[in-house]
Amino acid sequence: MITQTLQHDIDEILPGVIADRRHLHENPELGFQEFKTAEFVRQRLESLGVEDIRTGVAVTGVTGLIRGTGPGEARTILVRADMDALPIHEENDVEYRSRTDGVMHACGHDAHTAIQLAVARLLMERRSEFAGTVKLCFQPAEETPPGGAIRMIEEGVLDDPAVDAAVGLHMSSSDPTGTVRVGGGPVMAGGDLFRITVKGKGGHAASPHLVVDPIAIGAQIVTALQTLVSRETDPMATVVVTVGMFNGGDAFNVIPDTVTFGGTVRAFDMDLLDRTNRRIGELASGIASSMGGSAEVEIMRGYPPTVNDDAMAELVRSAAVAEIGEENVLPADPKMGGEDFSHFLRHRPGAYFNVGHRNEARGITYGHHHPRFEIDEEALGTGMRVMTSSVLHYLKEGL
Amino acid sequence: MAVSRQIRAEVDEILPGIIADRRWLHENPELGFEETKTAEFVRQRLESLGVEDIRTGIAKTGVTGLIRGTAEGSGKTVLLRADMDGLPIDEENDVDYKSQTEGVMHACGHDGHTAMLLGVARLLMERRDQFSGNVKLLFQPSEEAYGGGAKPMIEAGVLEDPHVDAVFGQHLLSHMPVGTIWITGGPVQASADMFKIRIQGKGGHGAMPHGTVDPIQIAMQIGTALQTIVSRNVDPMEQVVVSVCNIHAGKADNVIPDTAELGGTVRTFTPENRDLAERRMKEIATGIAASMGGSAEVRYTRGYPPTVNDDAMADLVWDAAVKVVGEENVHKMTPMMPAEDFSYFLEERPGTYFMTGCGNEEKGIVWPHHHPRFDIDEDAFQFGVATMVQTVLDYLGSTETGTTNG
Repeated sequence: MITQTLQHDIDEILPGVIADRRHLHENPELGFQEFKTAEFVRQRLESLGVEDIRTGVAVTGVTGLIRGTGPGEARTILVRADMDALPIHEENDVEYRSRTDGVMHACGHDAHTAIQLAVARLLMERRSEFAGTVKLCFQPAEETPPGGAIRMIEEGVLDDPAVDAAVGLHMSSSDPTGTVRVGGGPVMAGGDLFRITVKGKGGHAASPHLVVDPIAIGAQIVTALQTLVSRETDPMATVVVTVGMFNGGDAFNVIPDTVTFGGTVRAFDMDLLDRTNRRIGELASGIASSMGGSAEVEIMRGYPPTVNDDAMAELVRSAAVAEIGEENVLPADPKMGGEDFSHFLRHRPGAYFNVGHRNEARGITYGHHHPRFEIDEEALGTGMRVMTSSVLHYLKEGL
Repeated sequence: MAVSRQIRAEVDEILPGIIADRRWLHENPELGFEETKTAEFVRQRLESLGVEDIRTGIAKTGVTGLIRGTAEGSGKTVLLRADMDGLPIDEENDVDYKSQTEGVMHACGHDGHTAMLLGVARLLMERRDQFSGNVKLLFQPSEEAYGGGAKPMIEAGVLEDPHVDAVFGQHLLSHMPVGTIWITGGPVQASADMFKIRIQGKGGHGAMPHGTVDPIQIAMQIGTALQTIVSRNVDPMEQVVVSVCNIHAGKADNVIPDTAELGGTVRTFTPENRDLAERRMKEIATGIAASMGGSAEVRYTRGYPPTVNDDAMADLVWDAAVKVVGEENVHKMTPMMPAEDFSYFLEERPGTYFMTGCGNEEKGIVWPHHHPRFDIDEDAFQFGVATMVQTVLDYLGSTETGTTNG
């Protein structure tokens, strides 16, 4: 019943949602610079009658409230969309191609924002069906750690009114249009960066006995880092340690003073991330000192693992099953990529789900962050439908 | 549900007999391919139950028997397997039914497996009118010893005459509490392969390394590079273990030896990763040895394959277990690294291997498998037996449930 009217309303507003998404796609902005985007969002929320609109949260973030007028227990659920684009030059030949050279919505955040504006509209029209509050959260800078989420939380987005649960979605180019993917537990990895500077003692390449060779030390460290995965981690757990850069020296015949190398650690478990970071430091300084040098290790924290609450994931799953059918609801498939919705999930029970938008027939097959990344806009309707229904289920029935 | 309650009641009735059987078996453990007394005990039990077509001496000490259903229906055949062998361990439990053979002990629960399958046989004989087709009971020698009894039994034809359509087995698990059952589709236990890498260098005086090809240095480089199979080659979402467990080279302190040898084990959950690990090991060993002027020969011996459950069959067992112990006591099993030769049956036929909790902290039954103080909470038998009987009835019980859709 709800389902039929929801689909009907979505069909009606979909052209407008597509227009919003295309406007956003034409006007991409990088993290913490989403000024035009935020103003667009603010105007839309205002014209919908959304209350308590706040702008400039974490520089460019926007929030607003939809207060239910129906009976029942009053809970507050936060719905989050990210707004930022990427420093990529678009190669798609479409009418709504990015008008800013070198900046592109190549990860679908234009769609996330447009979907969330549509969800706001659908929920405004259904205020009499629920008690409690929907907090709409439009977040800046998901792509660039430390990111916009943690800053919005620091600025109090989870309070006033106090948020009880959080939901978010992400378009997925690996799943076909019409599907969503959701499950409890870890869905995306946490990832930190490390940079190791090895100090030796440079000198003439022909007199190695007079130097402390930082390249040889670095090579030993890189080799030993392999054992953090292969020897020190429970084989049933998942961790990746990758050295992505290694730089040292400028001449063929000079042993340099220092080398710098670095990379990334990914894991689905915060303790494992912490332990691996600690061990990188221990291995690097131990090996360096054993060879007469020293190592400085700098850890740059990225995003924590994205871990869905089981009950919230089940709520989204069952809402999705009711809306789009069991055959279109896929189980979680944890990915190594990171996502700062994880910060919300560390503070509140919540669920992050994927909305498939792959369409081979239309050639929409490029992966995220590719200059030819595109979205099958039919998928916007699926995202709106599942998100709206999940929010309604939560506010009406709770967990 | 009603059927299950009835099964549980009947299991309760025969439980003392199952426990007595288990204790007799526990007192009389035999090592792999030497289970002659055990096999004779099983044969007698099956004969007295009226089980048909009893065959003995399969793969030395294996026993099979057939229970023919009398109901109308699909006429499929399901194979149920128990392993019978003990371990070369000296028992340290102080119990009435302590092993009477020094240095041999049922320290992995195979006594429980055998006794439970005899209990299953008894209940199914009484319920022949409730299923069509056949139940093939299989008592396997030597799960523990290298090579295993499963493979030679399959080679001896146990999956034919009559043709087997599905296979089920269970293992007691002392680190899981009694009353729980653990199941999952897909991989549940790893493969266990062995490798030996023999490195040929060129020995010489320890003071004059420049005249030699040092096989110890080559071995070190290979051992280090083997780490990258797991850390760089395998999909991080998948599980593989490569462990170098022994390394031998040289005898004197001032002689660079001619050869060095590395040995160890590889564990994987998929045939693809198994192939990948073997291929990369050979490439790494021979490549590094050649790069340093020596040569390496890799002897990669495949042990038990990964134990991979059929998804539909796992669902069938799951539903049966829910009927027996209730939803709250059926859990999704996490795959384990130890290997199991039931995997050979699962390579040939769809089926499921599930785990039955037999630990009990209150009773002090907490010791791990293969420990000299390993023991079983015998209350576990009722759940293991009832789940297996229910699985068979659900699979063979009607034409509808005779399919893999459960």
